[in-house]
Amino acid sequence: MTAMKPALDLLIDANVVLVLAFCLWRMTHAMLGRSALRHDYSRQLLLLKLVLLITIISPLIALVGLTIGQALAPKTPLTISDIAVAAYLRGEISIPAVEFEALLNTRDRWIDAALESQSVWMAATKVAFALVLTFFALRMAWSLWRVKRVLDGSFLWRRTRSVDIRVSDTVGIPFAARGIFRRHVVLPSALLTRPRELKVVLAHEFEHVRSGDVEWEIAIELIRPLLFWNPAFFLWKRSFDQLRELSCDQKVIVARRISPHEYARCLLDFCERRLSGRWPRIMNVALVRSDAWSARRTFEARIRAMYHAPSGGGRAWMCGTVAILAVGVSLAAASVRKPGDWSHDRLMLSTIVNLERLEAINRGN
Amino acid sequence: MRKKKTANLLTEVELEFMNELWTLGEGSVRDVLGALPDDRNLAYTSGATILRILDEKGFVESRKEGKTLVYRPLLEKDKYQTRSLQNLARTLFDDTPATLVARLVDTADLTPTDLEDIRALVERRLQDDSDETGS
Repeated sequence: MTAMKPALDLLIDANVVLVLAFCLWRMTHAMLGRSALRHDYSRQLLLLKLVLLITIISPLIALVGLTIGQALAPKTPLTISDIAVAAYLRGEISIPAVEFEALLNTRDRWIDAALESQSVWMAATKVAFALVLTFFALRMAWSLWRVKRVLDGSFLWRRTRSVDIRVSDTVGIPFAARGIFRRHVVLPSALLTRPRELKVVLAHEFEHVRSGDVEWEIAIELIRPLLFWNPAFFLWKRSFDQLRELSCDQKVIVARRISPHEYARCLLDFCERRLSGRWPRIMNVALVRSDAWSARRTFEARIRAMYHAPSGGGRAWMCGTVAILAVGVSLAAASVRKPGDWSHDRLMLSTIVNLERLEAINRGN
Repeated sequence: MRKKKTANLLTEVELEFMNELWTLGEGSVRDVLGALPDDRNLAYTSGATILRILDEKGFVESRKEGKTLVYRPLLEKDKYQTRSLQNLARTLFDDTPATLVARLVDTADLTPTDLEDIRALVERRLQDDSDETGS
């Protein structure tokens, strides 16, 4: 059980940072809506990807930041708990020291209780957690197996340096996926006889491949079993999916000079077909999705977005936003970290707690 | 040699190509594309891919004549018709071909001559069966 504690600690930290990072992203996104980047979905997606990467490496940034911070200003509190202890010692929080310390150690107590408790409720919670985790892991394996089966049963049409374009009788919707070594664009065989749609679809799926969207999809789905209980994860994923498609549509329309009308008609056509088929929702990037509850809204957003070209400029906005988000997420990660050792303030608090206990014992005698 | 991928039934596009090959007997990609209706407007590479897929599925075989691949059906049209009907009876008519025939007789726009032909076919088949049982 002791060996599990650091892992559980890390998981909780990751979840807290994810929530804080998502709140920061939503605020940034709202600001972007009023900036030059309002209709520049590819830059918005780039920003979201950067925030995700910063969130992932934020514990490392926080560690480096804390080490540097402690070296530069040894007595300045940097984590939330250290700031609270300093405030307590200054007399800004007026509760008994024993209670304050118990409050500070709440998370540790809960983790210990979760790991050591023998109660039926705790056992049931652990079983439920394990079951849901297994469900998501199995769903991922099943989707991978379905994608592999389609790839195995498909026919190679063309081959570029890193991408195989394959034709399949069993799929109704084109999608991009990847194996261990190669990436694949899979097209329904009937599409070969519709050259205008084929051009749109190939441009769309190749844009996904170029942008690394398949790899992002796989990476996000791989961490889902660990974060399934966090609503921020689902909100992240929804924002990511939507921006990914808006960005891809916009790039294809601008770069290939396809009319938005023709593009929208192609999407609508595939949406109708998608409704009648069953297809794994994860581990691939399909042209359209109709399985999500928000599919209709996403589709409407895609159609509206096609008629907006990205405005040039906005580089200063991008750099500024990335810097602010990096600092914000790192501060969030640093603030939730547990203090590494006994600081002067902590020793003071511990002394007060011991004095309070001694006084209580003396009063009892 | 590339491994054949087995498939029982043709897709809509493949059937269109097979129909042309059954009519032509054999032909190259250009022959088949030329036989399709004018409004089909298929790219050469798409036609070549469809024929290559038919080859991989074992519905046709190909041989090289100079630089051109010539395709020949391996499956006869009537055999495919039988296979297709068997599949239809199994999947849509609960594996009872009689229901399929009943539906055809009830709803298809059949002339009295067509019905007479069907009766003659059924009677001939019954006669053949009773001869086999008798002998």
